[in-house]
Amino acid sequence: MMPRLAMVAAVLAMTACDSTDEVRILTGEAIGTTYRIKTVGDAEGLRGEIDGMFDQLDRDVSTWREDSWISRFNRAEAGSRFDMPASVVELMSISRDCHERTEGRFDPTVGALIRLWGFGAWKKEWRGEPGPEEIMAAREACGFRHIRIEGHRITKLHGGLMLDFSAIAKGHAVDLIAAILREAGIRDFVIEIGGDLLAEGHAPGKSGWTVDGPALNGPVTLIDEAIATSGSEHHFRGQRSHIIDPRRGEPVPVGRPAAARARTCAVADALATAAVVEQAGGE
Amino acid sequence: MMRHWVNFGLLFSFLALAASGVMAYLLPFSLTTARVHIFAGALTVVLVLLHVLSRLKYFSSKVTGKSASRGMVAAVTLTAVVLLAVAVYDLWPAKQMVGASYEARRRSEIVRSSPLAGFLDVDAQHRFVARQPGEEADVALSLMVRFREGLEKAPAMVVWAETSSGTIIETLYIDEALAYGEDVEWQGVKTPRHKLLPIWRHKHTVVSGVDPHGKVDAFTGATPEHSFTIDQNLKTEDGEGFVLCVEINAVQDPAGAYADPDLGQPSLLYTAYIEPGKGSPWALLELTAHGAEAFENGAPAYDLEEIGSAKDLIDLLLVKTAPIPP
Repeated sequence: MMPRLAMVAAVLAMTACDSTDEVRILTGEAIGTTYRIKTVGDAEGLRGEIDGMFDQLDRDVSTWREDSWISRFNRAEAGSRFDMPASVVELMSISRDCHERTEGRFDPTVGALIRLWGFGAWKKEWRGEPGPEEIMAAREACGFRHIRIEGHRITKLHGGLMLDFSAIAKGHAVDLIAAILREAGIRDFVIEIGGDLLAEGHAPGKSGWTVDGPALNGPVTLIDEAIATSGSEHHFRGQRSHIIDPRRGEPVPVGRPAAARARTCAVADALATAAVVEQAGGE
Repeated sequence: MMRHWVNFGLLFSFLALAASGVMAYLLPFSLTTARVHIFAGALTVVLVLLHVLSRLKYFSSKVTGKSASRGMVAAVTLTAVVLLAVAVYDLWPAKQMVGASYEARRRSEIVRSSPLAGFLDVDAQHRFVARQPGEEADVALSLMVRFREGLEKAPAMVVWAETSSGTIIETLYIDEALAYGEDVEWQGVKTPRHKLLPIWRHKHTVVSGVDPHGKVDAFTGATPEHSFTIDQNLKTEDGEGFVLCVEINAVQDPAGAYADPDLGQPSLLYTAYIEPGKGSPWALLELTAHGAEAFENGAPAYDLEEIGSAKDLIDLLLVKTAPIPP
């Protein structure tokens, strides 16, 4: 009898470790960077759904994929109409709101300038610093005035217009993962993708989640809030960063990274980019 | 006679298998434990096969003979299938058992180099660290470390690559004893990893998401086009330059202002800027900084005047980046 009791006790002791108060970490790589999800309780079973979300986002708005909706839109002639999937329309809508809220400092329509400066998927096309006329021509192809949105139908009004959601896609992906976790009944989590993060609920024994970073003045406690950092400390083209100032048509100079907080991570991501542009003297 | 060999052999191999299994479950990874476990496993397989062969009549009689017990065979088969399914589909209690293992509990503390990275201790004085290019890359990196002649114990060492602006790209090598937990014992000195190799440990926070002091839950930072693999840099064409870093620390070497009998002089950082495909394939890593003030925030210090014998731990750090023919 005693050995049997000992065996039962051992199994119970081991299964007791599966406390719902334990912080679990889910990590992986997606959309050109890494993600890390800390949850109170196990979220391992959601990995497939999360990976599926990343695949969908890639198919929707990746400029690295020739067959994504955005790449097809960017290659299309003026007057082309696209019946975009709801996920693209949603991101477009969030982006447009952020564009208006930041008075144009965040602008996902600057794809022509990003290409001209050889960033992102157009790195191999970089042929040296462009001249003022080239910059002027690329700027002319930017702006929401070149798009008509009617429900799910998006019409391209200027052949040179190119969309690029890389300044908001990471934040948007964080929000989409948050929705998956909430749906699964997980209430306490912090999701981080490439330095952009959203925290909800609290860590065990804390009032929220403690977050730190180079753009913060020491650790902060986040509760139901997102924070994103946009950086210009990296040298991409001489002393310039990878972030385009939409008003000038040029990358902003290297400077301090900026962090922004908002209820959703997509908005925080866009605001952080706008803050870097503003910090650099964008009008 | 054979039966006794098999019986006692099985007893030995099972005990070795069980003991090494429990050690692998509860303790940090050890190559010795893994070797014992694999060897004991192989021996158990051979002995079980011998045992089954010697009792073939028994098994065939239980399955097809007069004393066949179909109910018993079905029950055994069903039990085996259920146990297999529990393990394969990660069901209770397999999931809970795996979740309670050292690997699962300390996942965020464990540092594993890329499978494309490897190392070789040629002798007490020479160590090679190599990183083969992945599918997208075409340049192999190799680092030769030559310790001071007559050095009795090699210092703790970690090798990593970082961008020119200081963001870690990939850890290429870390001593096995330091790879599996924050609180480690190095040559008899128990010390947190961030005191032994503070500069690397703070850089590694971006990868692990866990700061050395365990106070911060997450980090926000700008990582444009950043990837935690060096393959993007190991390219002859359009590969970004990177900084190869080596941090070393010998314990129990107090000198001058560094009087701590356990930690002694601080860690030392050696660096070289590497541009694959450009200029000479060879580069020497130079002493750049020390980690005396890096415990708190990882900031290297550049005043090397007060460092004494620690400067003599390494004779040579030579890196080669060589294109691999397609």
